[in-house]
Amino acid sequence: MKQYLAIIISFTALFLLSFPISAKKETSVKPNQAVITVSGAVCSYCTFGIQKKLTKLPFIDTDKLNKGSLMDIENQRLTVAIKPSVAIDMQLIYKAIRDGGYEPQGASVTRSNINDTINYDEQGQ
Amino acid sequence: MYYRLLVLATTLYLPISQAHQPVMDMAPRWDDGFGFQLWYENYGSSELLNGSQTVSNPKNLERYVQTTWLQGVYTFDRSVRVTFKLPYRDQQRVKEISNTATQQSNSGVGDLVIGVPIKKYLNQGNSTGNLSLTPSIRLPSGSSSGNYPLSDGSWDLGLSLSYSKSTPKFYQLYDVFYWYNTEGDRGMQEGNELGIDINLGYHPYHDNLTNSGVFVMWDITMRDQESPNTATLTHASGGERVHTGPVLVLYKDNIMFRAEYKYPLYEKSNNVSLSRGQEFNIGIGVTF
Repeated sequence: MKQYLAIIISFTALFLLSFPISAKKETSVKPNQAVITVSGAVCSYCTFGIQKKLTKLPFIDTDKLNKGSLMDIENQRLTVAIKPSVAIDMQLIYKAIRDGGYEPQGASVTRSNINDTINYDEQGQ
Repeated sequence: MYYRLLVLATTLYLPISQAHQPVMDMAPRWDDGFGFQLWYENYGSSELLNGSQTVSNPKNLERYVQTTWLQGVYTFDRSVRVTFKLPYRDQQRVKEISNTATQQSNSGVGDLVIGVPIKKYLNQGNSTGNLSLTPSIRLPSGSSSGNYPLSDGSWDLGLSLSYSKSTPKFYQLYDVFYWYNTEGDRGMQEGNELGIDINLGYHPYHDNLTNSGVFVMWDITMRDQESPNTATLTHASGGERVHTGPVLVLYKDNIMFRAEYKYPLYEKSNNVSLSRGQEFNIGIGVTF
């Protein structure tokens, strides 16, 4: 039994040491989209709740992307489609993310003019 | 000896040192989330053990158990959930009674398990993890009557401590638990059980657009159970065991399919008893 425990402990230690550190990719924000960095969003099955809660917001364009949002788990970036000419409430988007089990780290929103991007901090300000 | 095993482990490990995840313990982590899972387990053998040695089995004793679990979860918020697991068991065995091989079988609902996982999540950039403490209770919902009962009729208490961490490519889960089994009907008492589960996984494919992917894992299951008392007629048997094998998980949106095979790497029975044998488990879960 001790030999097997030794093998298992060795495997586990090697596994822990092998975790990579990934670099973030910069992405541009398309018109009528918000891109939010979501800390820990590395599993689409786990972030399903964020997308479920976002679909209930009135300014989300559920005909775009994947029912209004798209999670990039490699870069922990959530892209949200916004209905044109409809005001958005970033606090509601942040609440949807928090209720979904994650913390938003900041966001960029572009409306009709691609050169007019607004940045938000982790408090949605 | 340990050094050689470490070198062997290192050599075997290197080709898969890029690994990951999603698993039911990670979902649903959203407020008011819920889910269900159907999980089928199959194990059994006709290999007779005396300690860790295989001994002859002239009377062809054997035991096979198939269990289908209906499992459910409700998440109040990500730090508190409640879960239930209700088994339907179909069991057959050939047991030696008065020096004669006697065939016995039974089927029906087994004991309901209710748990309350309390979780602390740690989101750190490109990784997420959680530390979980889960008190559980096992209710005697299964029948304790007959010569091969589905339950010992006892109220049992469990406690589990687990940690899991995942990145886009790797997943790891460690769980330690203990079941305190009280005395049930007809004087039956299954032995207390200590268990350790380890899952190490790699996430080779994920498509953001369709929210679907595959991942593979390696499962290590260790159990150490005290011997049941002589009045116990259930399938419980005391001893130590290590089962290990591959796991395949497929997922799309909120649906997850999981299949696993476990090989008995090490088994040591406290008395002369049947090996648990190979295990094949398969399940599908959905969250809302």
